[in-house]
Amino acid sequence: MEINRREPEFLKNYFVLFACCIPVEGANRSTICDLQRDSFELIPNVLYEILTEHEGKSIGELLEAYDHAYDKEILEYLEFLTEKEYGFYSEEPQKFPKMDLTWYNPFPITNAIVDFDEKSDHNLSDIITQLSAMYCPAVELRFFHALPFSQLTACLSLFEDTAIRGVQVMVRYHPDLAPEKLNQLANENPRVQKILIHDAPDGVDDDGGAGDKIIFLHQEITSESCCGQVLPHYFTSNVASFTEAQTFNSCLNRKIGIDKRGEIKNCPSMTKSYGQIKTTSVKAVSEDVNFQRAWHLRKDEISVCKDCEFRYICHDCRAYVTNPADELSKPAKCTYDPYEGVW
Amino acid sequence: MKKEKFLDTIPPRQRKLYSLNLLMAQLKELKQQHAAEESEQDGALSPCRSVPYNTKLFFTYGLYKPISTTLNESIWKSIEENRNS
Amino acid sequence: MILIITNGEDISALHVMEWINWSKGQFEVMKGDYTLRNTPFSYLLNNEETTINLKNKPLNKVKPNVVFYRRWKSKPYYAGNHSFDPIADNELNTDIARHIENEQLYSDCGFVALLEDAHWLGNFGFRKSEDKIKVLICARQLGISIPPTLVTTQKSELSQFHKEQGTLITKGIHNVTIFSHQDTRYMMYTQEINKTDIEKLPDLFYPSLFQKQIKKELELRIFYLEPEFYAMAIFSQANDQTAVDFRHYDYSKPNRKVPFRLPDKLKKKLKKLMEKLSLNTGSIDMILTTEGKFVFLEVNPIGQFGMTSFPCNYNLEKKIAEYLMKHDV
Repeated sequence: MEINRREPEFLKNYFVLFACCIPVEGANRSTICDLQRDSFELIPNVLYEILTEHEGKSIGELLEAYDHAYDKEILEYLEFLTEKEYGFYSEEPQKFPKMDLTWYNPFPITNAIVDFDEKSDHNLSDIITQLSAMYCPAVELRFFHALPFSQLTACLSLFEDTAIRGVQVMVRYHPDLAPEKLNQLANENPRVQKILIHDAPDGVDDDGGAGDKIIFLHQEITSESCCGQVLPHYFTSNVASFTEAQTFNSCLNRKIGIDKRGEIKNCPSMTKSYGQIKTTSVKAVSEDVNFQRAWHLRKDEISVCKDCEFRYICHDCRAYVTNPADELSKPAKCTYDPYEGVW
Repeated sequence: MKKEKFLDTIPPRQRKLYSLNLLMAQLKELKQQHAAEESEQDGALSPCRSVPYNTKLFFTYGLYKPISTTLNESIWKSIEENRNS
Repeated sequence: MILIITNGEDISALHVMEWINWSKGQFEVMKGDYTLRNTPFSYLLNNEETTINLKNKPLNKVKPNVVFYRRWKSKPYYAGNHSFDPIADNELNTDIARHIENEQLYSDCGFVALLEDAHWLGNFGFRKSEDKIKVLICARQLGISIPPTLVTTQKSELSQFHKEQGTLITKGIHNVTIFSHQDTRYMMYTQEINKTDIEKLPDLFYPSLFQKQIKKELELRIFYLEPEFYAMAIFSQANDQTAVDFRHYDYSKPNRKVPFRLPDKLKKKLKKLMEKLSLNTGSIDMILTTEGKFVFLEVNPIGQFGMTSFPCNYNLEKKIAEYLMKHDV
């Protein structure tokens, strides 16, 4: 569209953000979270103000609201947002309602982490049966010890026929875990989304025979204490995660953690156990009101996070926090300072 | 990607045997989902099924967010370096 | 009990099942195209009673109160080849195919008749009257604007129509077909027709449908679940690859899809249209023209509503599950 900004006709237009592009204000700067393209754009807080406080004003009225002191800048901002496809000009903004930000999900448990080390003696088969009966769709298995190929295959075969539809695996390197074999395993088992092999020697997969789903890591993952990283790599900007974070904890909501000792927890890194898997059912724990309390710790209530422009696209951590006495303190492994806008 | 109009594969004399939308069809490879649907229709029964839903559609089920966040910044860096090399 | 009738892999139906599970409802899935393979079905009618068997188990014990009708078979079972070779003598094949297809269709109709007492969401009968022209006539009668449409077999008429209306598109008079060629699978799209294309045509050709290409501001996908409409606007014009048919999907920069508020007047008309077509659910395709006019294109009685539901967070799967549960009494 050719736009002549000097034309009075143009000033009658409204600037409308696409309903999937949602501005979020931070202490020092803001974001537009693009829930359709899984990305975000950093914007100055003044642009956040233009987009929210002055929403519903025509462009003419908007320029007026700033006493025409910043006409050029404001029009440039809007032009930038239009070019980046975050919004558009319209004469009838009322035709474009906002998205309902309520989170709905049909699974009583949406994801589970099950940890093992060489001393573990909990039964994976039994756990999978329980999770499947609860229609849990996604499971992550973390082995802090090495597993030969046959054992890994045996673990994955336990998922056959179940309601679980996505499996991620983290396992310590074993000389038996050859890239081509893993690649074939992942391809034959459509549930497998990712297999991450830690503590692998250099050059194990130099020719890339392992394919996209297999990642070899030189570093080792010694225990659950490696978890709880807060990094842009883990940002997710989509409708499900953004809406969930409005009302629920972005990590723990509807999660089950079974640690390497078989203790059922909100996540394996938490201290509080709600029972041993050998004697307690996952379902009973998941329905426990005390267990569900952590599900409701929103980013909007967490210190520092509540002033952060990334709060609805960021993964929270309640296990490792800056002040263990305060369940609402900032994740310990987050190095971002929203007041300065620096990592 | 193979891309052609069906029209070009039919000798002019025989074009009247086909409706225009077919003649004009641009042939395009289908994405994964359709391929899965089609292979299902071919009746090939994969041993991998989710029985409660009678389905073998799995690719829809990455969770919409990470399950755990175990990799620190330096690990991410080395993953990216490997990817680029 | 809720009976879900569909075929192949049907993601939208799958999400509805997840929601029925959430509400602890009871459902059975019947996949039409599996009947010969892994979902055998049969029915027995005698003077005393009727027995329907699904997967070799009688359905009578828990008779379905609700049927969620999605789709049935997409391909007839016959073993004959669909040949792309027009030179081959296909008359015999065609006759056999038609006969087998009808036998199958009427066995399905019998099955549907046996479930007539149940509440149906989705209309089996519509399959046969899936008639774009008839739907256009209905829409026009209700004062809903439609694109100038020509069905013809003659090049001269087509040229004249092209002169009058400008750029044209062609699409199926019946439906889009997915078809296989060698090892690849292909799909037809709504296709733009230009002067060169017309020149390549013989004077007489197979009956085909042409429509004036409407200059669009927005494309609208409107899902209907009685009594509500859920409309989504697709900003497809910004992106050349999708300007004619948004199914030409651009993965790097997907079209913007956002909730849209339909004018009440239009909603009333569309509601009448759906009633007239005996559809309690379906997806309506419309265009909002650059002049601000709403133009009706077609209605799809089944459709993958996930493509409307997820971008707009409409949670249609949940709403459908609730609808089915409400009628499962």
